[in-house]
Amino acid sequence: MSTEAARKAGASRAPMIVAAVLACAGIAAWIFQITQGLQVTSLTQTYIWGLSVSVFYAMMACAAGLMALCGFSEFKPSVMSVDERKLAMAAAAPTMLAAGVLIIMDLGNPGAFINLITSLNLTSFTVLDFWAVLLAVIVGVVYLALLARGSQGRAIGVVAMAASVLVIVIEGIMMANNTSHTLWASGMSVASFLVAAFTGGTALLAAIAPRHKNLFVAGLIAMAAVILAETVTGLISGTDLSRGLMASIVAGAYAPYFWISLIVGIVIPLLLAVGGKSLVAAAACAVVGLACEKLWFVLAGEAEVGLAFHHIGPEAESFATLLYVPSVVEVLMTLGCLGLALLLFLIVRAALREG
Amino acid sequence: MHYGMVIDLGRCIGCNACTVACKQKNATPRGTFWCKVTTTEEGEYPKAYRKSVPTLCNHCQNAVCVAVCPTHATYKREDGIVMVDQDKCIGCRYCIAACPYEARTFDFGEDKTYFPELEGDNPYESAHEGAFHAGTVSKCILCSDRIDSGDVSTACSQACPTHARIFGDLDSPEMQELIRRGAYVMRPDQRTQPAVYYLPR
Repeated sequence: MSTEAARKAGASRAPMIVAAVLACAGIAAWIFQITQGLQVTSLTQTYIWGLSVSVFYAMMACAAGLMALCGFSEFKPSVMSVDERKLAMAAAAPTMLAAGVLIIMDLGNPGAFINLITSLNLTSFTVLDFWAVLLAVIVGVVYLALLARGSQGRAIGVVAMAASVLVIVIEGIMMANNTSHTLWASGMSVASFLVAAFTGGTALLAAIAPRHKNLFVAGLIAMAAVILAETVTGLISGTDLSRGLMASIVAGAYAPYFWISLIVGIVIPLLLAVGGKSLVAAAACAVVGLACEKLWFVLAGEAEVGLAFHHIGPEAESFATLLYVPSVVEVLMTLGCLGLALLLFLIVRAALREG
Repeated sequence: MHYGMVIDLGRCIGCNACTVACKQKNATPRGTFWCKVTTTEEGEYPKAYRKSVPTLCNHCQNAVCVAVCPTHATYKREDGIVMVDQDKCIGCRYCIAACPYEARTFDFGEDKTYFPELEGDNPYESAHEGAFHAGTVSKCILCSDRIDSGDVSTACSQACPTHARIFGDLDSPEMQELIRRGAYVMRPDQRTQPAVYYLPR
């Protein structure tokens, strides 16, 4: 092998090595968390859900959005060619699988996980979400196999779109179902989750097929509209509590996540996309923004119940005492799942290339 | 038979005897309070006053925690008491998010003893070791273990020096009479139909 060939081979292996290292770090962090309990996270009795749940939602949004676009391509092949669909599903299916792993990592008592499978409590949206995620993963794998064999068609396209929409709608309702949280329990939740899936899906689509830059821009504008509608409406109307909550999102405890979701998640990708710069970087920024959007949405909604119940003033300073910064263990577990998704993607892509 | 509680806010002096009695009876870990008293300042000088509100799980008839629990770990007994089976709980914490009353506590696996600087648990803590599982949720059981053994009472209501906490069968004429005195429930907008009523000051 020539020096040049060896250098190329090394460069192509580098992402796989990075992904494998991240996945191993995530597994190590998870083992540490299992042995120590969730005390090694930054979660509290107020913030019972944090980074893992938020990134899970963002990963599912991106993957389900991309799978729905693949399904749509079965009817309108100009959206994605067969090769692009292969690449898209090679990304979507592992991402959904890794998101599922991330949410299992976030359980306090994963040893009892079998109870979730056997209980079939269909009034619980956690159960519905589990089966919907599993269904989406299975549909993703089957779709990928059909694409590899060249036997895809409209039927799997319809199933892929339906499974994608189903999982996102269930996740939206899962949050909206918590009626004591006014931030979550609104019609905006499901709409926001669906728009996030569109934005995430079109971000990845633009990274795969740059000719769809305008669709990605539309997704970013739609996401900006939803975020601004939610926050501005809360700021200028509603109760003292909702105004205080929105003030804490815009200028209080959750402001860092809010402004990252707007600037990194929307403004920068818009500038990059419109300016004809790297769409891969723009897509990556949009995905980070989606995770931050879910983070402030989850955190602010959680704090709301305690403040309302204990009659703590709705002023922003009440919320300012409730900071949440993910712990190293949470960050490592999350990076580990992202590494797992990347590793599986690289393996599947390599297998598809070899035929 | 439908067990519940009527709490007379006019009688509560905020002494937290109920909080301590609950901890003594159930040996809940450090940081876990199934029964507690929240205190707030109401009104303005010169008519400001301290308002104490004893709280506990509301053992709702339409319990959202039961509906959202993915594994049936949270369930409702025939007598209306809402329980958590810690062996079934997977620690997803959806019930905590769903509960409008902040009645549930997640066990993060931290040190459960009150005096960790001492070597080992004290005898009382040792006797209750294993009662609480890391990674699961716990809450007030309305002293169901006592009820099952024939003693129909709760530790908090027994310890209350002013009889502000009145425990009993909500279907009984005595409890119905108390409720008719203008008792209200927390967060009626949630339509959970709590079994804990409050008599105003």
